[in-house]
Amino acid sequence: MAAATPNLLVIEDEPKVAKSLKQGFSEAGYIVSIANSGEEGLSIFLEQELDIVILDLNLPGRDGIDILKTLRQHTNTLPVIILSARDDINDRVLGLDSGANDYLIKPFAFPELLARTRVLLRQDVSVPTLEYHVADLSVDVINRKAFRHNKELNLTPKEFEILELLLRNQGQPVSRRMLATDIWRVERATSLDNVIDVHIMRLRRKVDEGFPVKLIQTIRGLGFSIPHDPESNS
Amino acid sequence: MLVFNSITVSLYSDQALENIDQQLRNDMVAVRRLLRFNADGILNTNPQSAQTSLVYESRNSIRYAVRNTSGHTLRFSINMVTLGPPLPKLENKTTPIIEDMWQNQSRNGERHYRLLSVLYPHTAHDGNQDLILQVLRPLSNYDIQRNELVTLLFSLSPLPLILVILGSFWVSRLALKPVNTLITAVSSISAHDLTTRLPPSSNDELGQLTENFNQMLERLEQSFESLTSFTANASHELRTPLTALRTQAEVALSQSRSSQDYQNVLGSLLEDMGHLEHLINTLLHLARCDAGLVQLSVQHFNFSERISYWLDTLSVLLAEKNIHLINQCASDITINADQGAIDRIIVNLLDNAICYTPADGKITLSLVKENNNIIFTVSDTGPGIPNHLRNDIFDRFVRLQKTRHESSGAGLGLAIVNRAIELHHGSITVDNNVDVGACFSVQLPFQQDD
Repeated sequence: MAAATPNLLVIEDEPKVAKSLKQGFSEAGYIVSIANSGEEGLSIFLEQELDIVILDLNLPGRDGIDILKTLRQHTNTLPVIILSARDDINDRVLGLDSGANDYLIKPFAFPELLARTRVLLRQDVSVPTLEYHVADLSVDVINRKAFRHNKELNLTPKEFEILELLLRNQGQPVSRRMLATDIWRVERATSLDNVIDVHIMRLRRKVDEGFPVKLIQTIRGLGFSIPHDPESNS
Repeated sequence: MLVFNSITVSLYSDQALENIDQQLRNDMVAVRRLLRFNADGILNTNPQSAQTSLVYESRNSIRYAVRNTSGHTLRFSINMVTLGPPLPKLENKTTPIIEDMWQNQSRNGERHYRLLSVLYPHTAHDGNQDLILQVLRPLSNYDIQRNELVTLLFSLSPLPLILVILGSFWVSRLALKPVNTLITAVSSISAHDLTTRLPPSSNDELGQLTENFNQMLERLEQSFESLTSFTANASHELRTPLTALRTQAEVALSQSRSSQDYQNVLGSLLEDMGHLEHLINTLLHLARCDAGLVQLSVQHFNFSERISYWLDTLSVLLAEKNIHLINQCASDITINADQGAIDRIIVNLLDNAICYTPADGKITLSLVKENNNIIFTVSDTGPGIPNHLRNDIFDRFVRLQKTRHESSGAGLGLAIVNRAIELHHGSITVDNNVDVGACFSVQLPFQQDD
């Protein structure tokens, strides 16, 4: 993260969504500006030093793609995430071709937006985490090994990937859809909820069974998470 | 009709006049033969010497006159006076060189003649004695006949016309009667009542039209029925999670609770919203398929590998239920198709089989290539498909058991499979195994034409 508190601009005309995004990002430690139209968004962009832009495509007046192209005439480094209700593959290609860094389809899960925002902001640093330590769990990303209480866990490749994804988003919930797209790379129409639940159950059995501190937590409605300080949640 | 009559009359007139003119020319030849001159070259006007000519004249009823160039009549036929009209005057009597001259001669507007006047060059002792020879035939007969013809034609012509008009009315009424019946029947059909069928008519084009129309009605009725049942099912499926959402939120807000309680309620709401969202996405996908808005991106890939991939992905589910998998898929079977669609076929059929196969059951897969078709079968040891559902199983929302959230597609999985197969011009059939369970068989053409 370049700045201590990243400066984020949300260009979204639907008031409820804009308000929720502002609250969500503020609580996640961002400075959030809201623009109700593309023009307003562009003027904020010219006034402030932004770190990332969340852009709705369906805007009154100039539409999102138009705004994005104007924005890209000024800067190529500012990350932009598109939000759109249009889930046609062509719309997605158009969005990414016009210079978006990511494309989320409405309705999106807020934790997923948060996670993707963090990923884009972290790209500047480009130092991947090679080892994770949570309580007595340690994970060696390079050698694909995980230890709990100094005892190696016998994880399948998929289970390791899930554990790694949870650790990368430590303290944040990881939704089933994030797991489906990031680990299984399936399209939206295919639901892998039952597969994911079984994997999580097995992973939990290997990681947490027999230990007083449970690391993998289920957050109802949001997904799964490994908290920063597991003791207090146990 | 008028045109026809006019043409007939004009043709008749031309022919009749031509005949008369020919007679006149013959007469003129005869008159020339009758001319006698004395030694001085003077025309013999003595009736005595013209005796033979008189006989000839009367026998042939030639009307003629011989004049000198000053218009003075030298000689004329008897019937020119008694039977015929007075001698017509030559219009150009002073003109020395009159050759053939045809005239329609009309006197008192009553009689009508045709006159042939010829200049007869002759030289007498005392100089130029050119003569003018004239023959004449009355046109009264011709006129009468022509008028009769005109009267006949124009008085008779309305009769066939009227007959034709009456006849056409009759024929068209006869021909249009089944059409009118059709119109009455068709106008009684509406979207609310598509059960009406048109009465079968004769074996002609109208009969075919009726038959085609009835077939169209059949298809329309089926579409409407499926749409109606879809709407009913969809509203049920959409309202149920909406009701759950609403009730939970209302109950949660009805009194103050601990934050833990609120968290639970919100989490539960999100879960239900997830189901709802998935349902809407799937319905949108199906609607796009039905509307022909789905474009296939056809590529060449390994079908067998896709099956292996999904077996690997779903293997945990098999393991959880301790289902024994018998994989008889041939390896390295490739296909030209849309990979996303093929994935949907594989994953939904596998998911379906896993869902309905009881613990410790058995699933058998096979993949073979026959001619230009690829045949993929999924056989399970579940309850099988009841006969009454055999035809409906690929419709939306048809489920074996009314259990919610048990299968991923909320009763839409097989509909998705069916659409994906239809998009590839393939087919799917389902049969119950001899011992136990259902067997789905997918047939896909190896190559997509488009």
